[in-house]
Amino acid sequence: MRKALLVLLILALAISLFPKTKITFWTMSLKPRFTDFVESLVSDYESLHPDVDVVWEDVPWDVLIQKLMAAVAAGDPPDVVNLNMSWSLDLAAQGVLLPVNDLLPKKVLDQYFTSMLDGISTGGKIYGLPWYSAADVNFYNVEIFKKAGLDPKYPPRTWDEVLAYSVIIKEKTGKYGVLPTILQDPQVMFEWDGLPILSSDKKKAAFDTLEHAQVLNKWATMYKLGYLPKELVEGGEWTKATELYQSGELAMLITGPQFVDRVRDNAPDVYKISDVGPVPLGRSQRYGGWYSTLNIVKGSRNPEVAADFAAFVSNEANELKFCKIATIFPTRKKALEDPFFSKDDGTLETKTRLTAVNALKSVTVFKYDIPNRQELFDKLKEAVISVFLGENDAYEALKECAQYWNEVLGSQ
Amino acid sequence: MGNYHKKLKLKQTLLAYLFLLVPLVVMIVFIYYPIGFGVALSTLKTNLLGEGKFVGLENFKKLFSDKYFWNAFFNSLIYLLVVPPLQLASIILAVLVNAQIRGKHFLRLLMFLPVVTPVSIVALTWRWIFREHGVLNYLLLGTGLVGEPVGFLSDPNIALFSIMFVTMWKGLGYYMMIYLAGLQGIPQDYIDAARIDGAKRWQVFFKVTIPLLKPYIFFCSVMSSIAALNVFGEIYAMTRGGPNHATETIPMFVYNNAFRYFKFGYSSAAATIFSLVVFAFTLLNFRIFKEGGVQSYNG
Repeated sequence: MRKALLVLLILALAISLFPKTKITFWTMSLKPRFTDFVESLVSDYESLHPDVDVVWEDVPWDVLIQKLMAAVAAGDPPDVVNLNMSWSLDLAAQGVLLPVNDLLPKKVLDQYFTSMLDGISTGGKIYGLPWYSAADVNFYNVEIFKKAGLDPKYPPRTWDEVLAYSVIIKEKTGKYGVLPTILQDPQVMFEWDGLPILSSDKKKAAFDTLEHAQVLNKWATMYKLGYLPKELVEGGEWTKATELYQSGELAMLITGPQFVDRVRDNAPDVYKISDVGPVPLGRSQRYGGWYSTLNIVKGSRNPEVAADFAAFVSNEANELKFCKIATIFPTRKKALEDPFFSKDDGTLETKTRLTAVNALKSVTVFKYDIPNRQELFDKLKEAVISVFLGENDAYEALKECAQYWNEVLGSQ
Repeated sequence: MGNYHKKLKLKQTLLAYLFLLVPLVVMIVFIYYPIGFGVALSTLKTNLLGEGKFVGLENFKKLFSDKYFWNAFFNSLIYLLVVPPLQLASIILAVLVNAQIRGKHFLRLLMFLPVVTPVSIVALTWRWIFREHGVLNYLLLGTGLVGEPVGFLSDPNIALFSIMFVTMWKGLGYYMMIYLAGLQGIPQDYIDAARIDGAKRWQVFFKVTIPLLKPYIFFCSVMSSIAALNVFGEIYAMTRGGPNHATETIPMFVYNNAFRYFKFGYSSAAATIFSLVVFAFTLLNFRIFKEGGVQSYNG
């Protein structure tokens, strides 16, 4: 009895002397759909590292930043947080994130797409690891195409064609052709046409030109003439476009394949009469990419372990596992070579995935590591909306906005 | 006073302070400290890590020349001028459900249902109703009242009023219940006396019922004014202040500057000014509705 007690005492002492390293991991809106997947990642890591205890918490994406800020201010931040490219740059500028160059060997970092690493780098430091990416496709309603007299074999390949199709569809069927997500990131309409919005030294706005005004006017005219849904100016276009497409009121859903999954689950009848085409491109033949990231937060008590865990979560095998349960794409070069991304089995689901993989070739990471990025982009969005609503002339609106940008950029 | 009574009084006083201590500590920690912290923050330029640089009244100076602050201020003012007066309509609802009519309990339940529904669900439901292809536009187009769909949330001239409607729709039942309690507290004798004296129904309502309801009107006015000035949930869920700041009220302005642009000092300055405005309106309500009620009749 005494011996047993002694052993227990020694064990308790050993445990208290060598406590487990605890790290907290915040993901962005992955519960409940991917609960099993994330839990398996955590348990796999813990079995490989018995001395580490990973506490996982999922946070809705729309309150993630607020919650993170509160945790940072309270001195109790998560060790690893799931963000995206833009937020990574914003928070790195605020000094909230730790660079991973100092925490992970170069050979690990070299396995990720260089462009994606570059997208979250500033001042020569990389502020996170790319986790999963998305590439857009054009998912379209074959029946609406037919009713409008358009051959569904030939979906539009350029944005100008999309606009032309939209006019025909509205005139012939009364339905909308497209609800473009151009106000989510107001600079995309210029990027698609190869027009830069910043000077090469990033010190001045470059969108106060007639060429930019011409592009803006083109979209605004479509809106004013009623060929684009009124709701476009309200925000939340991805969700609205998906809802409208699901209800059979929208001909083309130009978005990431993950939204197509929603159509399949919520409106199987509409999914059945849909087909998929490549994402339309502008004159620049370039398309802005989006990817999720894993970041190490300043204030982490175990940044090395946190970085190791982030690299584990985004390793080739785990990325592949994730891609097979959600229509997303890897951020490590090798993972994309898997036959899963090239073998066609004839289903619409696979066709969507392969089309998106193909689109990845046109994806460009447009990086804006400028101060007050969110505020400046909101101002650009306001300028664009004011033209859409007929409150301002395209050139005047862009000129006024550029002045504001220059004041802010010049004051830094 | 004897020694015993003195001791008893001291004991009772100490006990009273002891009872007060707990709520006082809670109020200091959760109300007064945050208020003080917010005011202090308004004099700083801060970053996300909580590091701040003292800038004095700089944030306030900037605010006064910020057209978006004034736009938000003006929108909040419109909210204040439109929503609380219209909440008075709930007196009529209260009179209706106070009358001896069939199904009055069911009616009360129906009118109270929006109050207990979470604001996010209310906002999402109304956003769906307000859609271009939504039920409301369908009805309006079907009855020929409009020629083309109304942009309830996309037209900057209409959007704020659409959200105000939702606030009123959600709040009406709450005020109705308060007025109902007030109505049921009015002694029937007063009404009977007025009727015997020859007062007509409307005269009873305006000369007896309304003056006796004054304390309730005061309470509802204060609550609805504060609610109108602090409105956030509906706007956040329906438009986030858009299109182009058309529905941005001060709370939304404060939120955007703090959590979207990370300007905590600047947004605290706006919140400080706004708190003073809310305080001023509450005082004004106190002045207007101070008198009245059954108590004043009883002397």
